[in-house]
Amino acid sequence: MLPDYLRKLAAEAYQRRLTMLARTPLKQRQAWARTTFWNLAGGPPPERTPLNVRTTGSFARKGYRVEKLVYESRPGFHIPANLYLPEGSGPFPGVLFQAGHSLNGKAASFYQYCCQGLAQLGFVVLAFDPMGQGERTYYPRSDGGGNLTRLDSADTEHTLPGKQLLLTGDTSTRLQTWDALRSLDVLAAHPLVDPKRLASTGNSGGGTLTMFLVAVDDRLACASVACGNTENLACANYNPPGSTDDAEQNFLSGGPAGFDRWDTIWPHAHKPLQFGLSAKDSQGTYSPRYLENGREEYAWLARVYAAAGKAAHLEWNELPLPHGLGYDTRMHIYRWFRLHLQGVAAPLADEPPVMIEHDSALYANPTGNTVRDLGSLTPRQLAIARLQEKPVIPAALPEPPLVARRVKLAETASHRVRIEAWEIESEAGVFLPAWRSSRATARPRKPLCSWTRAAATRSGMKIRWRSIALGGSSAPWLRRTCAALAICAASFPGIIRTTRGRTRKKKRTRGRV
Amino acid sequence: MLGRPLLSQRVPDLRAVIRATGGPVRLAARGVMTVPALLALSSEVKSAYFAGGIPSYRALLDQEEPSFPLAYLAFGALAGGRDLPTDSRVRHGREWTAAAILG
Repeated sequence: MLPDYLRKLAAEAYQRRLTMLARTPLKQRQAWARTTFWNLAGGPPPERTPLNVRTTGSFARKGYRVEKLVYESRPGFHIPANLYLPEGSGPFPGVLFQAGHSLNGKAASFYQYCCQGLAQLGFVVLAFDPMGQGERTYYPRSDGGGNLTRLDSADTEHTLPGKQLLLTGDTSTRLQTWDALRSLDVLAAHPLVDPKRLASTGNSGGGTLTMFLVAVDDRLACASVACGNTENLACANYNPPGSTDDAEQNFLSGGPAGFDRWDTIWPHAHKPLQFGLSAKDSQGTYSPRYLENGREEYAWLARVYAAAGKAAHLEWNELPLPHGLGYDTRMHIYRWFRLHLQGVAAPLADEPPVMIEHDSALYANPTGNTVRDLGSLTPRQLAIARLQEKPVIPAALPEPPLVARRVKLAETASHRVRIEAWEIESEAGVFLPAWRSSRATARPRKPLCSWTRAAATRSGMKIRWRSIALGGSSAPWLRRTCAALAICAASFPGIIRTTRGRTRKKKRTRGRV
Repeated sequence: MLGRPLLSQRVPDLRAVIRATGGPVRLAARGVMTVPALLALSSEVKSAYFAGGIPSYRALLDQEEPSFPLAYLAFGALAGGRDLPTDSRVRHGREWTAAAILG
């Protein structure tokens, strides 16, 4: 039933959004998307404060040079980054490279390859560590296992503080998008960069953050999204829980607002925009609807580009290769940026030579951790500070009327305890199975139906219920209790999945609505 | 994301169960269900027993690595000085037992 309920909410949100898409003129939609993005992410962006950019080191390689930078997206909140500089005097186009969810952030091998390749092709590239990754690991190991996280993944580095931010009316989305925007400030201000030719690219989570940056920053002249979360939550044929993901990728209350992930793209129309997709991502990274929904949304956007005579500014490349920034995807990115930022249409025969630098060679801090080396604030500390502000909390859907109607389906007696099986309708169409146990006064009329057994869960209380039904060892406890009290225990949607009048097999739901 | 957190489904579900019992109840909740139980307290609940829950949302913010499911958190719950209703107003007139609270 819970999946059915979610399907209903998703269908309403999908329809709401389609109606708005069909009726709203482009300029109006772009302005709305930009404002709504910040509203759903927790409110207006923070104030621009001094970046305090410092160069902490550099090294040279054939055809390019790497400078190590540290700057502050907010006072005391440090971002380490690598600036890849081509040979020559410029000005060059500038590319902001956004890392996906690699533990070592900007130092991940495929990300290094892409930055090195772009630099050798004449682009200034700024690659920074996202929150929770690389030198910005906020839960570092303490067992001598290096700087990287003691949590189970980079995703948890985002999601754990993401929950704390959420309590204060803030989100990882807002925090991470702001980090990207300030990083673009650093890139745009560099003397070798032409501020009229700025672009952003990234893979996976970095692709998704590229989408978010194009939503809020119109300085970007071009963008390429590789294996990003190009899937709306509320889509056709929604398959619960859908494409729920890292803390920064979910727009709370997006459904009622008619806003979804693809709306982040619209402010960029009609500027050059490329999508690279792994056809395998519908089998794990995202939901099974990933490609189907992406194609549908891309078609909407393609019509808008075509109507403006800019069809060549939009590109969709599906590759049957695994998730990641592999060679072929990098070659697409090089081609796209050369064409639209350098005016070079000639095909590129091969990728420039690339090599892996050791993580520590790319550190912008002495030991590779901003908290340890610089005393940087953490996202949790920002969340506590947020309590002093007045966030805008998006309105949730109104609560449906309470029904609270019960039907007794069956009853039985065991160990001098009478057990009734109830079905309680909490609101229209939402049913809970419940069991009422009380002192027995008569022999059972008919046995309790078999779903009592199916309802057993790991919860101690429910094991007792199962035990009594099966004549287990908890029967004396329940008998003693029921001598004085009637007990009612219910199973709640998500703990057990039900339809009216019967119980299906137990299934875990993620509960991220 | 669809406009209604799981917590806001749990609370009316629990209220419905309380009402369906037809009379004053003693409410017992453990673990994550202590949060919707706190929010579902009504005049029909004469006593409350909570075990293994959290003392407040603020306690989750004060810990470095709290472990609590997203489904039981509410966006902006701590904004404006608010928190879970565990103060004397909701305890008033009820037997109140909090056992093995996390935090």
